[in-house]
Amino acid sequence: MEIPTKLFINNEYVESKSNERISLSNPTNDIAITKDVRVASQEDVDIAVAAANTAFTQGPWSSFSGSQRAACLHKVAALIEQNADRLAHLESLPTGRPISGIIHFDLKHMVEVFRYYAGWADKIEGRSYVEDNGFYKIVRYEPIGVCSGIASWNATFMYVGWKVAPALAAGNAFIFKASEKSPLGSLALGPLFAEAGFPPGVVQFITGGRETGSAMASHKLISKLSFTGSASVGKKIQEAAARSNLKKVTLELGGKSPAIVFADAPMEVAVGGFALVTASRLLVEEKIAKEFCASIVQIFEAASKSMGADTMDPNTQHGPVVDREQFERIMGYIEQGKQSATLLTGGGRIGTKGSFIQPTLFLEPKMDSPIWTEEIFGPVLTVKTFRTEEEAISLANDTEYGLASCIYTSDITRALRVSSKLQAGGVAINSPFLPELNTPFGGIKQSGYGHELGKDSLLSYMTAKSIHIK
Amino acid sequence: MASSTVQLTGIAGQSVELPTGLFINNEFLEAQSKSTVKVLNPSTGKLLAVVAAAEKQDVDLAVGTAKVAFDTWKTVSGIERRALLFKLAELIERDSEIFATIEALDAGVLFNDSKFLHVAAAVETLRYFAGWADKCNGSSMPISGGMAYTKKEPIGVCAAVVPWNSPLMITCWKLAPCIAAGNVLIVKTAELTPIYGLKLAQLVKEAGFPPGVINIITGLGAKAGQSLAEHMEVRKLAFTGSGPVGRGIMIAAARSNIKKVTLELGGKGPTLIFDDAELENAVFWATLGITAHNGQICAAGSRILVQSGIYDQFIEAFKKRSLDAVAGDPLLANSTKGPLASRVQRDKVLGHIQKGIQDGAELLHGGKVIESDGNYLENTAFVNVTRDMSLMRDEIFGPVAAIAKFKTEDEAISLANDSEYGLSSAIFTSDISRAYRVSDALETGQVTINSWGNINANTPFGGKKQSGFGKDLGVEGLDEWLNVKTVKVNLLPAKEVKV
Repeated sequence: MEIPTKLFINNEYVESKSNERISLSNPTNDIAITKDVRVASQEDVDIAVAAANTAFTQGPWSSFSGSQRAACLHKVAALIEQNADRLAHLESLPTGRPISGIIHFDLKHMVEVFRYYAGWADKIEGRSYVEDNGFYKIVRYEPIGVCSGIASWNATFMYVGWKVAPALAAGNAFIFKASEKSPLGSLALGPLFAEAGFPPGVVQFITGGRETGSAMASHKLISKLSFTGSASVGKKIQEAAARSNLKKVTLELGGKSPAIVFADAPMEVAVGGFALVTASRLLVEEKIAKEFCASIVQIFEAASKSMGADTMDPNTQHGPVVDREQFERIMGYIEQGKQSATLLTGGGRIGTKGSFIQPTLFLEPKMDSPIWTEEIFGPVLTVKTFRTEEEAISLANDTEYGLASCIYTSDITRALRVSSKLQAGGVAINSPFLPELNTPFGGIKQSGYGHELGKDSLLSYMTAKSIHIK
Repeated sequence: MASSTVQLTGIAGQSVELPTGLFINNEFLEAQSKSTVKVLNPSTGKLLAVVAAAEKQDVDLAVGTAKVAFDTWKTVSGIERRALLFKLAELIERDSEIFATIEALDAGVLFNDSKFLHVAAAVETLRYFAGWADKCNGSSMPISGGMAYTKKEPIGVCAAVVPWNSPLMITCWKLAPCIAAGNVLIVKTAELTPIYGLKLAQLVKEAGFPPGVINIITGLGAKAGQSLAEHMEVRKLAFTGSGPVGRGIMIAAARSNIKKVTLELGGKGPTLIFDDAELENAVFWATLGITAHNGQICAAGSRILVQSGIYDQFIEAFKKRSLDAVAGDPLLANSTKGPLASRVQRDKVLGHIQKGIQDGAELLHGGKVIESDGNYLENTAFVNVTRDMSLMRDEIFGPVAAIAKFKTEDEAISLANDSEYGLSSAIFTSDISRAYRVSDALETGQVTINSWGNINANTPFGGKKQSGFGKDLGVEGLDEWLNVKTVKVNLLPAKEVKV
């Protein structure tokens, strides 16, 4: 299978201006994949931005009607569907993410996101106000200009959908940079956008690491940057945005999402929710804690047994962590966990090849333990017990993050009451929190600000212009 | 019982074969009473087809299947409805020339007008509303002691009674938002022009709509239309057509089950041409406004009010342009004027012309039948028409312009608003302030500035006063097919937790 390694600029793959390259290897077996992925230098970023700016201000895209933009978005959705196998393969190779998950979730979801936003493209409405003071007043919503996105490596295609689709529906041009750990899938998307009818410069995919990201954050002609990644990098991006041109920034910075399980939780549903491990802190009512933790241990140990299988096999559900760097980082947290909490299961490496870590469960950590306070971004779940609802809420909110949360209970009143007290951007009741096309997804506190999905995200790629006619 | 078929021949040997039955539950059926209606070609007077005509028992059957279908259809997601509507749009686009052939033969619409305007608009409308299907959201609002939210829900079993002038496009104006909103629909096509409905029915099935979700029947207004208006299980009826029929539908709705009704009943569109109008542009649109499809358009600019300074130049150019029409077979590309939809319509229009002459209006041009086996009538215009004349007050629905001169802006507004109709209007001026001022003052649902008759899928269209109520197109058009349900959740105090 051909591996794309060049930058996708102005609807074609082009050579970069620097000699720097990214090497990738397969985290399931440590075998090298490529040493040739280009790194976009400042000059390459300048070229891409110039192309995007021309496309936005003068090119045919600037006079596309909403329904013309919709047609392109629908076309690219269909092309993605047709090319799903290749795209999934390229994304799975360097990340170790099981191919079935990418096909059945990431790509499927991305296609739905494109179709959802295609439907908004011809429905962007402003407002008008009565002229009782002598002025006719019209508010129009217009695209911002050259927008950009930087994503983390855990779900590249999902981020392409979330960032690129609403921006294009609104009429912007977009430059997307995937994580340097997972660049191949995004590069492979480029030609599909060209085939879908997006004019040159409207959608571009570049690759690189910190420096490329920094060049984007500081660029004076980029009007918006949507970032998903760590808090420390997010803060640097906001700073660079302020120092350069005050570009609009949205930050999705991760979380330490709590799952609160009350004694009257629907048990099977609650236990099943942890097969996905989207929450990283489990708060369980003392009354049922022992039983509940035993069920989680069972699930984790079953998952552990199935790990190490070929991630290209459609039956494989669990993969390794993305690379050695992450592996060492997560193992570091696990070691700290062993010093400050009770290990119920897991805590070690699986096998001797690749970066597989056992799903790990810790109980009752010290309140200042890093496994309780910091985002680990690995298969580590930490459990604390509570007695009262107030205690649960207090524990849940005792974090610098505020992305998502979930509550398991049969009592609807309690569910709604607790949901209004949780400091989080999203609350799920009797389910893990999963994003929905129609509802805005985003965090508060140090999980960042701004939203993806829903109409909110579309509007965040637009700006209001007020027109007063005498 | 399964129905027979009809074959139509278009240009360049294009041939279309269609079933002639009532499309109910994804099948074509004969009317239970074997009732039929004859369909004539308005350009030749010849018989085109004999198709099944629905009566009360057929309507009952159609409504019954729609009700059953709704039980399952209401569980289908917005995303799936979106996909089906997109598929239907794609199929209509694929078969656009077939529809254009049918509309030319059956409705007297010029082939190119049908293909490039009406069918294209139908496709755009379907795509626009498809994109709403997964976005019918309500709101959430805090209330003391709890929380509340609204849901936008489909109404259920709906009906649309559609006219003969732009049959496919206006059908899609109803079908698209109705289905996007999650309803099921019975369409009653006009008995004058039922054939496009048979083709549309085939595509509904090909697109994959489950049986009963969209039924398409034709029949006499007094029978099939009335049955729908009176039906206890139809919860909404959308009607586009004449005022008297609309009134009857509203009465029948009130007498039966108080079903929701929207009415689009026609107009007497004023076109206002000010001294500072760009003349060529004004002449182009004003002429089109009263000659396109022989003025058989609810938004026709049938009253042309011209300011005195530009009057003489306008009249000369308007007359020249109006007479520059080539009457002929609507299938042929060089025809720029087709027939009126029926002999009855043609004679009604002649009647209005006679009345105009009797009332003392001055004939500028036209006024006579174009002799043929079809229903051709000259482009006609009267000048010095006063506000009390029938020519100024009554909707003619033919290629007859009533022209009057005005001096001041206020006079123009007063003349324009002196009407029981209020559908659409057009203003021609270079002065932006005047454009806004006058558009504000005009009592119509749509105002176009420096053009006439623009229809866009994302802008609501519908009238005031006796032009009816309710909107087609735009998000307002979607809301017509939804009910709002408010849900309030009372939050009980926390249960005591035993430690």
